[in-house]
Amino acid sequence: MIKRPWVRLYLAILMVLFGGCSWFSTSPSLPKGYLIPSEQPPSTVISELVFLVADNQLHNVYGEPVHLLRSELADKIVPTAIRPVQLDFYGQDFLMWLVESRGKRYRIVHIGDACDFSCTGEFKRFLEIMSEAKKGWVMLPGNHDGFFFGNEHRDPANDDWRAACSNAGDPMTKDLFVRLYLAVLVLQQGPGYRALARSFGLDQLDHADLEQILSLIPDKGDWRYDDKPGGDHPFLRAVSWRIDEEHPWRSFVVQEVDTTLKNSQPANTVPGGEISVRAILLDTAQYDSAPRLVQFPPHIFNAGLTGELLPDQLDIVLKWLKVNPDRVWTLVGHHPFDSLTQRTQEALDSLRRGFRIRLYVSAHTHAGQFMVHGTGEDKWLELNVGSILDWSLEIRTLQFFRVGERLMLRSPRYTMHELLRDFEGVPQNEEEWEAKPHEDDYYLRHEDLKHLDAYKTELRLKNTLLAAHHRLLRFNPTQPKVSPTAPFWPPGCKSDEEVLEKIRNIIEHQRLDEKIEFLVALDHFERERPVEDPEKRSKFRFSQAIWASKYDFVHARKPLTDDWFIIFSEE
Amino acid sequence: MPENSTTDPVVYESTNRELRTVPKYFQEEDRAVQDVRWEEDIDVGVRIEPDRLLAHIIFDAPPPEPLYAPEACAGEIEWINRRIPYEWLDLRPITLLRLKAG
Repeated sequence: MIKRPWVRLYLAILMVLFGGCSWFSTSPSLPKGYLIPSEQPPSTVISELVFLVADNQLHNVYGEPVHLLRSELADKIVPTAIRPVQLDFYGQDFLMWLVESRGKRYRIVHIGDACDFSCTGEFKRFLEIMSEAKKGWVMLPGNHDGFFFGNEHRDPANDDWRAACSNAGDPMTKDLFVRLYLAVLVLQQGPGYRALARSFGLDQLDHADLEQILSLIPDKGDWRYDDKPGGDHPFLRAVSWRIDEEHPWRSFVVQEVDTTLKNSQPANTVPGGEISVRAILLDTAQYDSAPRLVQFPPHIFNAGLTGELLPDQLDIVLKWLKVNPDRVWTLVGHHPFDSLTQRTQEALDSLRRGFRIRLYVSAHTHAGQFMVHGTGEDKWLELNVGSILDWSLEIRTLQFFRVGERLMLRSPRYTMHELLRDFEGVPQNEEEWEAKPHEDDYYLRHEDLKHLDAYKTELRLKNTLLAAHHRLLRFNPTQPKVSPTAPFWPPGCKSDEEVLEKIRNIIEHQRLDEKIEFLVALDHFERERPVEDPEKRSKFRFSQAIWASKYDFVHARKPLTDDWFIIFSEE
Repeated sequence: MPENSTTDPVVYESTNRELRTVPKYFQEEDRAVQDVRWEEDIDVGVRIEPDRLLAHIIFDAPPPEPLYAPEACAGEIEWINRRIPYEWLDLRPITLLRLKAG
């Protein structure tokens, strides 16, 4: 029972503010014209398969305390306010596995929230991962890609945002996100990306650096691939953007991608010829007024709760749809339809009625689901994709088929823990690998304090992360023959034993800033050092991330309903 | 078939009477699988014999790869897979169909 009125007020505000990321809706039924077959009927594929991924929320674990939003009490209200440090530290391995494994064969569409605090360093680490998507990738912005902690715009000189981004570059405001994303888009291979690069005057990209490209991107642009008969068939077809440095929240990037499957069928199997299948990637994190934590007065929104598209972006979407209204269109946006502003919902619904828009794909909820909208016979479908980081570690693929004269969606859902169990054999049955509740690196150590002190919260998290490094190094030693003067050793250390000893000392004695400084050194150490058994380390890392995500989901170390085996304690 | 490939896309395992995909074939293939499209006359209860055209593998670039029943793959189809996770064919074998015993 909380007796102090200001604490109750604080709790009430947080409940209102943070509903967004744990949002769930009920849904009406689809009308009789829809079928939901359990098997694939005789059908003709008309679109390329793309992988959908969302909400990896790469988090800067080397930040300083952030008041209010990163306290353990905030985590009670919004479970994603603080994740287990192992999930933040190892969890991006899921995205890396997907990109390295599928990204050379299939295109990847990221539905937003690449970052968590929205720091340039977070985004650059994400881009390092995505650079392995050799077949090509695109993303649309989520509320965590340009707004502080996914909620609000703040002055980038603001102490909290700077503190959160400590050791991870600068606060990434929305205008900066759009510029960075465009710069990375043009660095990709493929005819669409190359044509976009040429439109910036970048013909030779082999030695271009990011800063150079950033300086060449205009504040406003409307690019469309120039089709020539017999020419290439690019994935990226059009990009329009506005970068407003005075009002960063009004900045946006909207993209059109072509997933039509060309010339791949056995002869005479596509009645009526090829069907053009395209998607428009919306920017649902574009606001007229700067988003704030508290949604008041009514025209002020919290980016975590509400999505919006302004008329300038909607006009572009309408123009693109009008070019060829007979195409099969999908709209993709980060925010679910129900959390868009009324004005935006009405605008998108009007587009849906006017064109062949059969599907809206969204993310943001972290709990993937299908949703049905509309009334009477005019109902339509939204596919919401869950998070690749938070349980149940979801990804999907998306593809369209024709069944006679009807359109069919194929979108199998896969979970990373099942894929990794099948393909990588993790989590491995190594009892000592898993942190147990009494241990310093137990995954849920952040959940047993209940106060508002962000400094104490961060102290606890950093100590847990240090202890997690201790376990990582104990079970994954550095190759024995490496030089004690190799540049990757943390300051003052020349061997694993010295690193382990220093971790223990820093957990027990040092100040928060010294813990952070040593953790940054450990991060470098972990990235650079050669280990005795790289495959074992990979399995160890996946195992940590899976346990952390799973136990975080149920706030306890216990089996989930899908678990098959439980070994009992000794009698 | 991928250039220089020595592997067939499917293999028939007579012990289980199952026709299965071969990951190595798909690993050697640069193109990405977009569908496995069964021939219209292939269904449960149909009798097949070696060299019968069963399906086409549709890739993201032409041509599609015809799938023929391999040697010894003869009998009545007991079960056919119409829910093929073809996104992963380069990583794991998938059973495409099973023949009746006897």
